[in-house]
Amino acid sequence: MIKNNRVYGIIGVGAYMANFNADLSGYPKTTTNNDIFGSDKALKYPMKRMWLIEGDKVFYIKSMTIAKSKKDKEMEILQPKDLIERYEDLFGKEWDANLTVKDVAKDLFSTVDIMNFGATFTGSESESKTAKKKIGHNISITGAVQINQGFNLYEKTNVLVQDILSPFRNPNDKSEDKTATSIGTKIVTDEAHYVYSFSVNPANYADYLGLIDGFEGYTTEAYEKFKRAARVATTAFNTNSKSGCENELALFIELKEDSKLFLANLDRYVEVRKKEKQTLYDLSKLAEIIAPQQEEIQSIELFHNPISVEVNYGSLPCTVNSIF
Amino acid sequence: MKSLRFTLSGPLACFRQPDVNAKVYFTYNNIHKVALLGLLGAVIGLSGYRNADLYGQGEKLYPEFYEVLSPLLVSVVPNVKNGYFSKKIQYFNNSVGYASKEEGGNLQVREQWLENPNWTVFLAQHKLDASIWDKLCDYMLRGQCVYIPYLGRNDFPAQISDVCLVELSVSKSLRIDSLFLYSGDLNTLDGGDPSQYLFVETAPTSLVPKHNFYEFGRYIFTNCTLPEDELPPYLYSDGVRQYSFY
Repeated sequence: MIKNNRVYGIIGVGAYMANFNADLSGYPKTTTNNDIFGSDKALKYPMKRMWLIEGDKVFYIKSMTIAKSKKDKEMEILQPKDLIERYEDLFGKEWDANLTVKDVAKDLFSTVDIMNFGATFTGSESESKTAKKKIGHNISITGAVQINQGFNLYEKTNVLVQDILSPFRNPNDKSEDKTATSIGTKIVTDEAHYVYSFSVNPANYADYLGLIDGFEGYTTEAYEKFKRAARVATTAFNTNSKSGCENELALFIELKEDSKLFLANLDRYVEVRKKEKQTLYDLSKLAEIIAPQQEEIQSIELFHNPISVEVNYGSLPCTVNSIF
Repeated sequence: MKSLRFTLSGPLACFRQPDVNAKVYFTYNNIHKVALLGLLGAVIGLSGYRNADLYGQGEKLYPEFYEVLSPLLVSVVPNVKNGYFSKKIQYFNNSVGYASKEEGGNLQVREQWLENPNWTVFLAQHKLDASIWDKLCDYMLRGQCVYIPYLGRNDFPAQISDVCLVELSVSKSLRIDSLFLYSGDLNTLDGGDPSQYLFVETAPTSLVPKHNFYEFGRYIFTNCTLPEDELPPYLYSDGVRQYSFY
């Protein structure tokens, strides 16, 4: 099924004693006035992991291979696959120079991550296998789904630094820890609520219709996969630093088929605060902004965690469901 | 002269400078003319830079948005003290092995972002085809777009607000309240005391045919006055402030 209508929405992620997205220093990413935010990548990654685990084709995700070290030919090292290795592996075919740019684009669109988020596929060389291979195609696909930076909208967030003990000692003679095990740090936020806004614009693929054999545009199947991932992927993803992070709220505003309405950064109309023990997402301003646009809207669906999150959605004409 | 006025803003923006392409990517302080035309092209559905090979179109002189919209005149006012937005370098990793040829396959990206940029933008039809101008005004006034316009990166959607048509009149005062292009001697700028400020940035003004490199000009934002014979062309006023169109 082809999806033609546009969707705007919001994804709320809570982080409890967790670090949803750190910068190079290990602290949560911030802007100059210390507003904490998470990148679009931090949100997309758990989605891609979820699709991968569920058996869908995902192109842009790290996968490893064993290769010979360049410095010492005898030594084997574990390293991420390069572009051609990943391409051959995922699509089960040999890369050869006769593959046209249209063939490659068709393969790329067959993966769920590129169908949703787009791709930047650039020319590259691979020498790790027997023959030296070269990609000459540059393909840039602007994804139908675009996600913003998600700012933490909770004002009482504290950043905590905790010492953690490593099980090993540092054998370096100059080290202070040479006779004991070393100490590391783990940095978390006690409680943060990241609010992302996103858009789904199937028109981004209009240019490819008729160019690629059998390609008909953005599909309902891909959208449904995105929609499910937007509701549960972060909760499902449990690495050390993200184990306290969970999906709390997801809002999907479906426009009518021909609507070209532009709604940017819906997150600026959202407020997050505490109401007794629950987290309150206040969408009443958003409802005001949306109200004059009723003509253009087909349906609005709201999903939230019914146990920990309360939503004040004001006059927003939406159906309310559990996020799980 | 009729002009389309709107406020362009967002929490973050990054208009990459092409002259540094390693370690750190820097941004221009303001949206420049080429980026602004690209954003307007997205609104009315013109295509951008793309792989001519894939579309079998052969080499084109310009991307579609530029070919169509370059006759438009624009004027930009940065709504911030002294015309300077705060910036921070953000860091992220791209650890899929095929992002780069880094050893270990991990590409580290450092990119400078503008924070809370906010501009008042004026557009003037000038030599733009009337049907395109009407379409652009219609889409902007009704808050519609074909592609989602963004501020330099597609995860920074542009907020477009307060869109309206205003009447401007030809003017020739010595003080300009918008950005303007000026290649003259900066020492001839005068006044503005006691809080004189002068913001200067060399940024793109147009594209080179076929190769689509940027051509640059010196953008100035100041409260100083200019010598009369150095005033740029296309100055218009709304009765309160004077804007330079380029």
